[in-house]
Amino acid sequence: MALTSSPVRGPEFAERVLRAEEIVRKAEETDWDFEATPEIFAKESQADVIAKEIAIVHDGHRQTIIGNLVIAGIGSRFNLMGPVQPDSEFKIKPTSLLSDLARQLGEGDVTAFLNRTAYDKPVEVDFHNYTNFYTLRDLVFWHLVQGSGCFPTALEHMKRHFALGKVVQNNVYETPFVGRDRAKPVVMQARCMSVAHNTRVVEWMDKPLFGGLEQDTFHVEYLLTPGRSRLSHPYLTLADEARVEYGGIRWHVRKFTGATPKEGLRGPAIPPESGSS
Amino acid sequence: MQSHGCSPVELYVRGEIPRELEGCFIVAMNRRHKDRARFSRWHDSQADLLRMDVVPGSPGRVTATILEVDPSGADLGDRFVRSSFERAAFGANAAYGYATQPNHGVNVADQRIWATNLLFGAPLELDLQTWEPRRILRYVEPTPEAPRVSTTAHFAFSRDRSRAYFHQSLLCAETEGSPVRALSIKLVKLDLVSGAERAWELLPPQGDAALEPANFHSAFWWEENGHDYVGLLRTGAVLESLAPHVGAEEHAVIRMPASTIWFVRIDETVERLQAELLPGLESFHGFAMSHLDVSLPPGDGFVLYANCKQSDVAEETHGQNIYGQDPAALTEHYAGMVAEPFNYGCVIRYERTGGRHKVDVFERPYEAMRASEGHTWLPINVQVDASQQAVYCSFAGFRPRLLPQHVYAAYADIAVDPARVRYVPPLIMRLDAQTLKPQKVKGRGHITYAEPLAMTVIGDCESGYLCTFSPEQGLRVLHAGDMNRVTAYAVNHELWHWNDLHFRPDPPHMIHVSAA
Repeated sequence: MALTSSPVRGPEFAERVLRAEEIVRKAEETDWDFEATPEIFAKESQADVIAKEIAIVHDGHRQTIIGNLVIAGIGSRFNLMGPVQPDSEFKIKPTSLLSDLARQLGEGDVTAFLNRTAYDKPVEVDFHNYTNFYTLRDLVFWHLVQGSGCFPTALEHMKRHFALGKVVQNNVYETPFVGRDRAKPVVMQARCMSVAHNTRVVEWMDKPLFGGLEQDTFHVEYLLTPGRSRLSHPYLTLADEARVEYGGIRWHVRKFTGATPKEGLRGPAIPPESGSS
Repeated sequence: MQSHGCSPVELYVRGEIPRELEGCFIVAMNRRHKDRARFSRWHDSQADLLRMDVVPGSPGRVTATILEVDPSGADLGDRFVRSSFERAAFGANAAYGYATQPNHGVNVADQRIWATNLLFGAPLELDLQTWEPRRILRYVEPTPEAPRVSTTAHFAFSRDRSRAYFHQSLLCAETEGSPVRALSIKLVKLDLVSGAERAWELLPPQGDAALEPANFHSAFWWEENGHDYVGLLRTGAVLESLAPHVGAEEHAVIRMPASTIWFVRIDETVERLQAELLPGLESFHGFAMSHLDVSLPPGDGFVLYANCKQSDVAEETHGQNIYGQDPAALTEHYAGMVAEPFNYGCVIRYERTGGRHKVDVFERPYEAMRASEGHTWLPINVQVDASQQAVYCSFAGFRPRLLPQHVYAAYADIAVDPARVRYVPPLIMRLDAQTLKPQKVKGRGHITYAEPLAMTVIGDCESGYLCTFSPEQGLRVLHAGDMNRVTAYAVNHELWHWNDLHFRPDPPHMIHVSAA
């Protein structure tokens, strides 16, 4: 989601917080129907993950996802949200795992994908201002303070995650370059994200919601397990299998590649949900 | 191929599984190829029957066992007699298809499961405990001219569940200029106490005698003046051909007629039963009436809750979409994956007492501005809670890029405007059983979006549970009185795929069998 409002300080910021609080209270009273609070509507979401290269490391008790993301956006300041388990450990930590895996199982998938598209070479961005949203209220409030708003359908999806006892992890990222329009978005790459939680089973990541720019996501996904695994990705093609060493342990790795559609797609030239529709 | 039981899989449980869930859930799943370029009709896709055994507790335990069904019936040996035509046709004659491919509905009574296809083939009976197939319920004999069978997916049961009823017919292959039509329509009764069975020839009612749309997705039972009656939702799917497409090109679509309901009075003394049309639906224009639940008062009559999909359920996703986009350009375009609606559907409430009837209809488009009002896009499940106060309905929503242009063209005058419609998220909604309006109670969720479609309600709308399942999202247990509260969920993504080439999409239905 692009964060569109210009940053403010001092009393002006305090005013913005009060205004956001007022809108959120009203929205909550009306069961989050946007009719009563059309000011919640985002104008355009204007950012999408277009490619991801991730490794899911599962030792039988704990799952760690290490990922590089390529994101396209219109604007220069954005946020990225994702539901995670409440006991998750999120960090940005340099690791050579993805490049080591690529070296052994074939390099250049994401680069080749970007070369096939009209996207520019990505610029590096860093995630910062990590936040957790524990309620729908937190989430809407934060977006109002940042001046970006939300979409009703996306909010309903997030409501489900909160009901399951998940939290929504949120990061901000920005670039000195500005994506001007759909034909020329800014393309960014965020590296070495790591999120880990306890689980006895491998849990594939959720399909992302359509952010208005790129309808598909290109994936390179590695599954690392201590022993040979039969587990397959439901949509991606098994590209390779190997044994690798990581963290002093020998792992069985399965590599999956392919594209998946985002959730919530609409027809071409159909605008997003808005207060006037 | 033999029906094949896979090793049990343990799901990872978070939360507390209530004691009311002790028993098992049954789900008829299917599998699809990851390669989107392959056309494979949903009806024909391999049936994988799932039993999830549930041990209550915190966190409790959920163990899944899958039975991969042999669609030829050959694994049943002498418990299913195959004619020489069938032995030659299986795997060779696409118009014949299979003896059974139960990847859709699940019926249960007295430790027996009958799994069904949504349109084709005959029900497969399984033993709940051993999870092994017992027999195929077939009362018509396929021939080269009428090679396929059609059966009601969701059976009717008498009040005491001692009798089950369903329809079965042959399907005659299309001829030049004429689509597929039903032949030898039968109504079958299973006496679940004595084990006796009988079949009547079913004569179509006056005013709805066409045999092309004579297919019935669900049935229901009621009592009046000491007689048993059976109602059949005449869904009305019109098939251009019995065999699936060889290529996934656009083709002319024959528009299906509006749905209606046939009914018969059961008469054990005759060989033929004359069907009649349930009065009050003459001006009703719902398409693809499919699923139902029925509330039976202590005396005569019934209250029927049924849904219409406004979707041509004889067709499936393939070819160019309503925006003129080629399937190859759309990653989400699974050829033959699903039937998309051409407009929002409806839920009807039909009350019949003392020979009188009353019909109410609930229908809504999706308005993002008022998401709490819900919508009725592609209704799937209907279930009345134990108190008969609430009706829980699931709706699959709408993915506009999956509606084929050639299907849209047949319904353009009553279809949604492609330029104005967006994605509509799936949802489950609780309706008031009397008024058929959303049952809103301040502070207690009556609606849940993005939930799996397969659902079942255990108990009542105050203290009971709404359970949902998909291979992706797992088994989820929500409070039926407040659908914003989840009490437990259990997941294992091993259920989401089959080997490396296939995945299992969201199934439409599930049932719960109590251990009590």
